[in-house]
Amino acid sequence: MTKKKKNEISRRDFLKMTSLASVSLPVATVLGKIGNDEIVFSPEEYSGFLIRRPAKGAPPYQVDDSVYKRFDQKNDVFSRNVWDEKVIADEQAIAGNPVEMMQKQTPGKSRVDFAFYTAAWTVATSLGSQSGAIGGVHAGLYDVAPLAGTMAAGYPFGMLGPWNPGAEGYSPEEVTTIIKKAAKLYGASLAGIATVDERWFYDKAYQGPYTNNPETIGRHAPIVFEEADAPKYLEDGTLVIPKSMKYVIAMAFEMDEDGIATSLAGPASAAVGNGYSRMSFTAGSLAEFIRALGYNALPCGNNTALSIPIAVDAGLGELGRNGMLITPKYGPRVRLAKVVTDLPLVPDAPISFGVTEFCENCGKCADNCPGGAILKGQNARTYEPVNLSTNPGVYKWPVDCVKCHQVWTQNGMDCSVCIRTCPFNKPDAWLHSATRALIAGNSGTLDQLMVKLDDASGYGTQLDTQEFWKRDRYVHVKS
Amino acid sequence: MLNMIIGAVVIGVFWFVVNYVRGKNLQLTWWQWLLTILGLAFAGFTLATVTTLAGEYSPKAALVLGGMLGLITVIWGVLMARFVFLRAS
Repeated sequence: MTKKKKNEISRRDFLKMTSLASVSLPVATVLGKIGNDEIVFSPEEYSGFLIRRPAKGAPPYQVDDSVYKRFDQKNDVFSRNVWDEKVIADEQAIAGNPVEMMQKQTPGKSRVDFAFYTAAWTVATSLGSQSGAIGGVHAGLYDVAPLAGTMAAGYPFGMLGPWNPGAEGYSPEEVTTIIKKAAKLYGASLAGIATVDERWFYDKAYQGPYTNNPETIGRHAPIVFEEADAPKYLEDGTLVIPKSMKYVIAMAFEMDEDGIATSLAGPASAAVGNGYSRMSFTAGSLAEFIRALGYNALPCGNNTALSIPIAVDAGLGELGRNGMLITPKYGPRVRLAKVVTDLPLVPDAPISFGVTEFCENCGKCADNCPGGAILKGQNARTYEPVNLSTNPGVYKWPVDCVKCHQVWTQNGMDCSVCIRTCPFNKPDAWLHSATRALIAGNSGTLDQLMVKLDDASGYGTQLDTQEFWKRDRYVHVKS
Repeated sequence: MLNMIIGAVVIGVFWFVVNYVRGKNLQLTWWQWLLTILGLAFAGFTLATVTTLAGEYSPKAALVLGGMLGLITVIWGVLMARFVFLRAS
């Protein structure tokens, strides 16, 4: 037998150490804590990211409440295209002509592309839902009141009074699970719960150009929280939300990956429109479900409140440099809707997974934005607005929505280049899960390396429209 | 079916390595074995990366990452052959 040399590790010691590491690491990551934060790993919800849930009372954003005021929707860029003469004139000067594009068969802007794109908006723009979907009056599937003629409205639920889940043995956590499952079955990709934060609701709503009722364009009225039995509109257009409606169900809808990859072409706009249509159908259905249980529900698309901070509060993701919600599983490739309710639910906690640190070191969206609407460089976050359409008082990268919308107008359809080029926009595969785990480590050097690798690998480049039609990958509700 | 074939290939590679070592009567230490296994695992990782990225319709990524990882795999193999297997024989 040979003598054991000093400092030599035996096979037995090595096996003991590796066994200990292999057992303790997953235990620590699934149930562990770093400081006061909880660490969670869930492939179904978060792909490969190690998610930090900050301790209660520690918001994932910084708001200067001495400056911050509820945003007047009149100042968003869609609304400004109704009343702001300079914005209107500037856009008219550069507006693309869809008919010309179709006649010239411009790549990505052919008749097939425009037909594909516009038809994707069918549910969102019919059934009276357009204003709720894009931002304005609650109507259609987004109505403040129960929808007439639906199966749920016709059922005699009213004879039973409000559902008492406790009496039927359901805990608040189980009720919350039921609501989230319903949201996902109805069409949401992600669902989370937040408590109502009045700061995220528009101070005043404004009806912009996108509506099924043109006579309401320009309607500008307050949104108030008061004691009331149900959400309602007053005669002057004021939207009253009962103070008892304390919960918001935030939902994210994955958009087709190959479609978005063609941005600025038709299939990308079709992916966006399909997202809006699914928002409308799902938010409306979920609201009817909650109403059938005897509670109030106010389904919202882009209207009434800011979807992104609500989704951040609900634990669906973090705010990115491009002004979008970045989700662990889909990156920014999601649309958002929400339902405000008084059904008692258990709120989720906000999450953190390295987005802010990564965005500081990346800037790919800013480098590729056709309109130059996104701030470039490190340390660019600020509490200051860049124009009337950005709200001061939140520490973020403010996006120049006017420059952004000008690209849409010139393009003849919307733009989603910032979504396409974002490194967080990746398929749900083991290789990208490994990368996501590295991003969650918050290492600036590693982040910079990954951005370079992302560029070298060709991620974020525009997919040819003809190639899009050949691919056979689709969005699935349960993916 | 493909997974069965891949599994069979993996077992075959390990069987070949073990039999090669026995046949040549090589005396490998435990850490040399460990490096050999890690090297083979890294080669498998390289192959899996290329096939995953190709399956995702990302040919450029498959080429770039496959090239980088493949280079590391080759260097690892050459170093193992030069400093482990040849010295052990």
